[in-house]
Amino acid sequence: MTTADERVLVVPLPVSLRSAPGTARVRGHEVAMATVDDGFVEFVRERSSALLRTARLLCAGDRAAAEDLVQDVLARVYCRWSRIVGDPEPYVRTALFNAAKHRWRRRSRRVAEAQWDDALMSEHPSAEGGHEDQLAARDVAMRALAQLPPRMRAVIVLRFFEDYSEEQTANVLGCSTGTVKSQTSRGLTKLRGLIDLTGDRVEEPR
Amino acid sequence: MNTESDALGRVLHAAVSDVDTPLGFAEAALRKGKQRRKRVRAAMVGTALAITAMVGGLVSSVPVWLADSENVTPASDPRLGRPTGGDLAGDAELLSQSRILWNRELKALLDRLLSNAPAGCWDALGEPHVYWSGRTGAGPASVVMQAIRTTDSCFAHIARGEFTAVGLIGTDSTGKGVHLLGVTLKGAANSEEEVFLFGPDDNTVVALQESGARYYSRRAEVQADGKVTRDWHALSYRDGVATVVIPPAEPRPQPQNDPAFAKRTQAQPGATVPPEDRVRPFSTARSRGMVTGHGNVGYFGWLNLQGHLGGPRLEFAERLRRFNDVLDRMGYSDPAFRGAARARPGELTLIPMAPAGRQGESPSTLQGVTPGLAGGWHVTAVLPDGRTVIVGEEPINNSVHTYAVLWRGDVVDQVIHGAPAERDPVLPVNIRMPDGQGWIVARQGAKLKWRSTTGVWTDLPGDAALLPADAEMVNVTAPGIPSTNVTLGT
Repeated sequence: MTTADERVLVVPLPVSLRSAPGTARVRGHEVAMATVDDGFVEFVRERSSALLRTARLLCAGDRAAAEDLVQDVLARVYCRWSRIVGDPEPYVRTALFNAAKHRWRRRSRRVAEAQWDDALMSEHPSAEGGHEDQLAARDVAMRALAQLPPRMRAVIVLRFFEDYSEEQTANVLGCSTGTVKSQTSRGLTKLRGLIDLTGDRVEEPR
Repeated sequence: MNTESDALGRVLHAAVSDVDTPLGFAEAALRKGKQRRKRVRAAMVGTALAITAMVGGLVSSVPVWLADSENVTPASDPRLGRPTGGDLAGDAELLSQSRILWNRELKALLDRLLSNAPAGCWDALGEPHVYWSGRTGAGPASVVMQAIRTTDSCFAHIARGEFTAVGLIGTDSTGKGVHLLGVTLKGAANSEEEVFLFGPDDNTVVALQESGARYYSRRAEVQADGKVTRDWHALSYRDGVATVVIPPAEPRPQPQNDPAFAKRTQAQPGATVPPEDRVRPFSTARSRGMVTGHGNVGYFGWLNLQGHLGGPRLEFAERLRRFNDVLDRMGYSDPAFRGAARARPGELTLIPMAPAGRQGESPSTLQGVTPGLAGGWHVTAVLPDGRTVIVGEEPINNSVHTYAVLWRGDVVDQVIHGAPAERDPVLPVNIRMPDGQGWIVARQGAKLKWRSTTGVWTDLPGDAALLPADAEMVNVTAPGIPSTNVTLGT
């Protein structure tokens, strides 16, 4: 039997954590729970914006869904926080993609992602002037992502937003590199018709 | 990457470039993490209970001719249904490993604790439950429980019925891996409470609240006059478990720690702890020693010493009663273990290690005799001035102290404290009698001879002797020990 956490947190743990309990936890047992909590909160404060950006793309712009996804992953990761040695971000990022994958699988319980313009307008109710062009460009990008099936969207995000290699992407998503290649190819084909990929520079909002 | 890929990357980054987390996001994540951890613990316990119930149901639903005559039901111990406590309760891997080790090592340990009980003496019911998992001074540890039923094939002195086996998973004190270190089966066989000593020199305590232990004492202090006292400190429980690290005594290796536990604090350091207030801990160093073949005895336990040197010949039980009574009454024994039923962690279990042919022996034949000391030794003698003496051993802090109790007629005249014995002394009993009455020396199985200032060696007929006051040196020859001269009084 596996728990929901085990399905999501399938990232291989560092070797020291897979050894028998008590043999490689010298550092761990000296850490009081208060320190563990402090470390967790510090990590979330520093890295949650980056995680949220990835989640926003995975959720095709739905702000609430993205925040829920990140919160859910962080809550799961917290339960194992004391066992993570080294930089926790790769672990958390992989858990994020796994959580997204399982979230999509639970289609019957899936809440439809908000329309991009709804989310956009509630976030920027007073968008003005030149800023509107940038918002429109992002609207286009998010609408385009929303057109992709979730798994294809995850491949695109991993490959072109996270700059993962095909092998790394396949590892995270639990599929073959062949699948990654085909999903990437199909995704790009779809996006070509929705986004201008000719190389014109997109300005980032200031 | 090609231009198209670069462009897509820029589009994606631009699309989320101003995304930021709302205020309180980190605190909310922490709160949700804690809530989730509680839910996970509860769910795991629920699953374990469901499996336990299912297994119990399956077993009890087999035809009568296949089933045991007794009903197999999950144990009624409510602790088996409680969520896992401790600061590592959310560590699913640790919990899983604890259950695996329990299943793998329970049989070997429990069979040993049941005094080499025959196979089939007990059955495990349901699934093991990790009651607590947390960090201790000796590394991560888990308390695991499982319902156990003793069967008809058990010895007469093992109670039959259902009991809760409570064990500790942790790092072996020798540092050789993580094991099931010890198991108590309270009510069925051993008398140790659910207070586990483990780690180096058994210096780490994991006590369960149900043990009743509320105070602990690090070690007995032997004062200059030979009297023994203890200081007591409160145990602090969290999630039903208290953990304490007892700092090692200095100088090492002696004197050693010998922690004791009590339900109530004591008014005076030397006050006798009433038997009803005592909580006998479980020494995992000893239980691991039983499994691995390495362990610390903590007493001589001689069986064949030729110790009767004069005076009335007393049965062992009578000598033991007289000797212990005086030590207890006058404060020369450990206050935490005084009394007729003084049972110490070093003596393990109430069940004597029955030799072949004695397996069915009733416990009544051994009543009143501390198991570890059954068939033990004393030196009895009449001193030149007419006083009688009993010399015996008293384990304090896991080391052996020798005492001599002197009587003038029926009245106790004096108690003499010998130095604590070294780990493997050449001449373990080596105690000067007061008022120039000589020396009492002994080593079981040794050939002894002595000499005085004259330098003439005199052979002794046995392995114990009362020597005159001018004796200066004893020569000891024993199996494994070459001829060695021991200067008396050093």
